[in-house]
Amino acid sequence: MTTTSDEAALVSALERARRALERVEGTLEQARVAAARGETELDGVGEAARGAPGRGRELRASLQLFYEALERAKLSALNAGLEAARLGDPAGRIVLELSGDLRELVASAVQALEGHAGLLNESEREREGFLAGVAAARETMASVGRHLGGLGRERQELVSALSGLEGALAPVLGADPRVARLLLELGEQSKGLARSVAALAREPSAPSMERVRLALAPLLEALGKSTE
Amino acid sequence: MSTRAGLLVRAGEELGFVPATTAQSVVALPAISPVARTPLAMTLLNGRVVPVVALGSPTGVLVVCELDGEPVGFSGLEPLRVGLFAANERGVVVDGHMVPELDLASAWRSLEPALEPQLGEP
Repeated sequence: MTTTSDEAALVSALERARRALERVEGTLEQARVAAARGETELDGVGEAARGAPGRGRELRASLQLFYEALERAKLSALNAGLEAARLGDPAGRIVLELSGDLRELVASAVQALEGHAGLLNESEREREGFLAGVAAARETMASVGRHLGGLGRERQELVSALSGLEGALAPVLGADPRVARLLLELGEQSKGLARSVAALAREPSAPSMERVRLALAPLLEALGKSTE
Repeated sequence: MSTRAGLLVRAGEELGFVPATTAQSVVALPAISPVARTPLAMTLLNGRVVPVVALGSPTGVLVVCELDGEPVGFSGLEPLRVGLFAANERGVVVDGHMVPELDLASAWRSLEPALEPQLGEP
């Protein structure tokens, strides 16, 4: 046999469960929106990085042009030196020295160019790693989305179970759980009201019954309307 | 000690000297076609067919020399320096080291018989 306080505890627990479910629903929705936004942003980042190979190829083609031009300059300097060497000393000495300097400069430029090509290779490797990271992050985000979808289904199960519980408790509570809760609240408040009326009657300067009836007028009016 | 003008090259692991009177020019390695049934190859330089002798792995350049009044290309040589070098009867001295003169004429002549028509061949 259930007591009034048992019923109150049951109704209160059901109400808390209902509110908790509503909060879960709100949080799930926010998480789903965040996961979808994350996927979209990762797509954008990946798309931007995927454009890099084209620019890398253009850079590589430019470097190749530079390299070929420098190789030709190196050969030209070598052949100029060969002609100057044939002229002998002193006629060819200046051109010979100039061609030697030019070859050294060109060799330095080729070395710098090879350094640039190495940096380009390195940046392409880093880009590949970055793209792989973005793909993995996107997959994780999609997995989070799938799990959130699963949680949504679980929430539906909980809603359904809670409704079933409320239906099963209706005979125990003697009414619909919401009506039972309102009745219990009304009972608690009327007890308070009775305590206030008793305290008022104990006062030396207690008001007349007419004044008490006037103060209770809204309650009496509400009771009158509900029984019509 | 006298001086000699020429080209210092690397031939495999060794250094060699090619006199400026022999070395005519250095060009980027052109397309080279093998000559069937001979160890020779040939290429087209300035509209002229030039025989090519391979002295090692390709280096990206062809050293064009004049031997017996004819141009001959040598591949497998890496040019290092051109200039006037202190010389003796065996070659030139570079940074205190003796660098022998490459005997390109002998290398070329040793291949010449391969170009002669073989008996019974068309």
